[in-house]
Amino acid sequence: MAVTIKDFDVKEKMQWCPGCGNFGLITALKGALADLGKDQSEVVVVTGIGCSGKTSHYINTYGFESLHGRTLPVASAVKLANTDLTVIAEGGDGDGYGIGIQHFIHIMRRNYDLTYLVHNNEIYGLTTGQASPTSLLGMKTKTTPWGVIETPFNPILSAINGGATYVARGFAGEPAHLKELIKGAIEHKGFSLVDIFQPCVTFNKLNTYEWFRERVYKLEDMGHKPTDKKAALEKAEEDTKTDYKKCPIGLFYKEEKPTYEDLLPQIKGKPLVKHGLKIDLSKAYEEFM
Amino acid sequence: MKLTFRIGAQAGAGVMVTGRVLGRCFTRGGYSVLGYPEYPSLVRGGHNVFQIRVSDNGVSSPITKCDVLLALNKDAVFYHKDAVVDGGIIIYDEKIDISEFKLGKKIEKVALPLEKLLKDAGATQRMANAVQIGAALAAIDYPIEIFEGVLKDEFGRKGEEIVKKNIAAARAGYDFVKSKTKPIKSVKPVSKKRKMLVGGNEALALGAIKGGLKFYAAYPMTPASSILHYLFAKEREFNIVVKQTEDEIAAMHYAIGANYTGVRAATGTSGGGFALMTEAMGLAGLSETPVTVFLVQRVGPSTGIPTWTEQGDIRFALHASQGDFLRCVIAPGDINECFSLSAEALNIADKYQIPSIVVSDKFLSESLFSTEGFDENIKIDRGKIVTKLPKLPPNTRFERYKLTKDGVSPRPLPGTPGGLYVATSYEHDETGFSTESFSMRKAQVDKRASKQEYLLKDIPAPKVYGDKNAEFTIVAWGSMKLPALEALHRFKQDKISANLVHFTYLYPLDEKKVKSVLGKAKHTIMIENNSTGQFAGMLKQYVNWEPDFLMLKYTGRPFYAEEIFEEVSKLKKAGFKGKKEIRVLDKEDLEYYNPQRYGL
Ligand SMILES: Cc1ncc(C[n+]2csc(CCOP(=O)(O)OP(=O)(O)O)c2C)c(N)n1
Ligand SMILES: [Mg+2]
Repeated sequence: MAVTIKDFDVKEKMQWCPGCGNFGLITALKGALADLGKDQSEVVVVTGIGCSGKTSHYINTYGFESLHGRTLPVASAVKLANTDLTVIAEGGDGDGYGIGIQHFIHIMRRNYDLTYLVHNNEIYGLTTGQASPTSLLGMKTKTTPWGVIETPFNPILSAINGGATYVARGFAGEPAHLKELIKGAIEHKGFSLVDIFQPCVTFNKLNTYEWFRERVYKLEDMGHKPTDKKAALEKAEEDTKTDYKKCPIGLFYKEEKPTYEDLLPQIKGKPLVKHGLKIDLSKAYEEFM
Repeated sequence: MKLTFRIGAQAGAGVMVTGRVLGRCFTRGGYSVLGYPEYPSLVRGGHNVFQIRVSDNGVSSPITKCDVLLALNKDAVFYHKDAVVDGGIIIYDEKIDISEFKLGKKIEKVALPLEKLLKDAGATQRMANAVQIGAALAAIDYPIEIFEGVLKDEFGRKGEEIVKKNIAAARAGYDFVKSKTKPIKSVKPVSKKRKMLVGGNEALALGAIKGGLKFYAAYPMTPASSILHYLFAKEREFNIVVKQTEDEIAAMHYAIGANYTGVRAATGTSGGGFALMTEAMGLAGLSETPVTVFLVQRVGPSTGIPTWTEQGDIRFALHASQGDFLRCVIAPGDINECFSLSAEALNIADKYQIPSIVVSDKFLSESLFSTEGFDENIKIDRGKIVTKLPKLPPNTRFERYKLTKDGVSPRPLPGTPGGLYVATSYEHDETGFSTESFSMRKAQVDKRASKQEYLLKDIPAPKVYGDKNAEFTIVAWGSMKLPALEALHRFKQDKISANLVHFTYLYPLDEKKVKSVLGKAKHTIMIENNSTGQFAGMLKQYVNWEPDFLMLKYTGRPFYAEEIFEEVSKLKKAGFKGKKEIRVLDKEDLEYYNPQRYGL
């Protein structure tokens, strides 16, 4: 029996604010998994802490809600331990680009075959509205009462430069489009980032659905070629360069490269978790004699 | 027969390698060997020394004296000249001007023309240690053929030419010393049965591999790094995935993620790295994910003294993370315990779904010890892992955190149909879903805590060594077993009846088991390699027991057997009366970090 999107639902109510971008986002994710015919038990959703972190509770797969910022190291190990699993890591902009940024920078160099979805609402949601690393210049928040004076972090630019092999941006207000991006990310062999504009209707009064709708356009509609790194880098800076008049969404960049796991002969063809535990140490002992 | 060598040189000259090879010559002859390195936290510039003790009757602690000093630079003569016993020998590089040192008259001195010997043997500078080892063996009239055998095995795969040259170098050193002086002793192999010479960290790694370790993630930090190095070297041979991570925060989360997925996984570090792991300790605790941490202590706090030893982190191991949850703290005391308790720690983590921490220290982890072989009788117990489950009704989760009598709940591995659940850092209900229900919160806390009762059943009482009805008892934990055992030996020689009560399982503690052993002790002297008596405090808190005397040493060196022997002898003379706390300082107050301080 083929899986359907409903199989990924849970009985518990999803307790995000009415209108939260996370609803569109989780629908896109469930739809992507269903479309790809993923067996629920073969999927692990690893999240961090934040409103975004609840996703692992609201999707009926295996899940791990780790600590704030620690999504990626947990997800990385899940993949290394069992390469048969489909691993989705998810976190907020504070989670991934703030407290956990060292993991983000390094995972890109490693190119594990897993997908990272960032719920980028440009604010700290769960902790009630402090500035995040992606809050726009001038935005007033509880921790920037006179407006943000730090340059916002550009995840797309960093990801392309950092070695990520699938770099996309979606918009929770366009779940059908987002679903396709997530499907592409899951099917991509290597580390895929989908940074997602995810309006926080309660604490971010600047980057609202309307704000995004006026600004986003789809890269594929403009004939962007994701294999063209130079073009991708230009597009990555289009939002800041146009003072946010134009915010491209879609697939910026894609590259084929061996994954980290591909380079480990000890798990070629057989996931680590399936290896036997009986070990003969006699040869190892010889070195000490 | 007891014999002690010291090899001293400037940092970077390779005394560790020389020491290891020299040690192997004796384990091949059936001897017990201890190799103890001391070095400053410098790659070049400071002084390094390697002590090798050899005995036909067990040897477990470094001592302050040596019979043979191999001095490869002037600093070595300066630092160790007073350690050489009368009747001992100093073999030094002929380039060193020893005339400026006052050397004992009853000490033999041989100047080694190292460069000339190498040249004549057709050997290269890299083979200098072969000459040195040959020279050292000549001084005690030990068969050079054993060393030749070591060289053959060591360099065999590099080709016959290299082996030949090394042997020629070894012979040159050996023949030269023989031609210059009479041996100070004549030492012959005691047995054909070879022992192994293994580093503490290597034994931890080997034990873990035997115990089913499949994944190890770590960030380099002395003195834990050699676990990482060894596992990396072996990862393809034993199908292990070893990962150097961006930091210790990541390392611990990797280990937890891998355990969650179903492979036995561990991480390792020293105190500073463990500080970064504290948040994830709590994650493992609350999500009931097994994880094992090798915590190899060095002198703290902060960067402390990176390459010296201390037992200062067990309170930290015990309390790391916010909130209350069970963990198991284990401290092996010798090389065989490194092996078996490493494997056992993996079992405990899996069986009780808790963090287990194996506490070692620089002394135990970076020293070399002989062993006749490890106890491989290890039963891997994966606890309540489930891999086959009935189908779940739609949109429901498996009760991963089901309230059970022993507090341990079935744990499905990702990929298992019917086992869907979310592991979480939040308090949760039986399916893992977040909850703030008062009754469920209490029930989950109680569930996790109830494991302790069962875990305690698996934990043996502290071990007694020596006379059951001894006049006094030394109490120690972890690596301090080693000097304590050697001190016992000294007491025995003097026909004084003493014993040792040694703890390997530090937490949780079972009052009955502890008191069944310590309750009988007449006078008790506890030794700890820290400044506050951390474990004595734990014993007071958890089992309401206190030692009569607390002997502390926190200079960066382990206790030496002689120090324990002397201090306890003083106490005995005083009828076990006097100040409760004794603080020990090394007799030779030297530092290797700044030889410049001594005008060197
Ligand atoms: C170590 C740590 N520091 C701080 C917090 C408090 N905290 C929880 S979520 C969060 C920020 C959430 O922002 P983001 O990651 O953007 O997620 P969002 O809620 O916006 O989805 C913070 C600071 C925490 N849980 N752990
Ligand atoms: Mg956010």
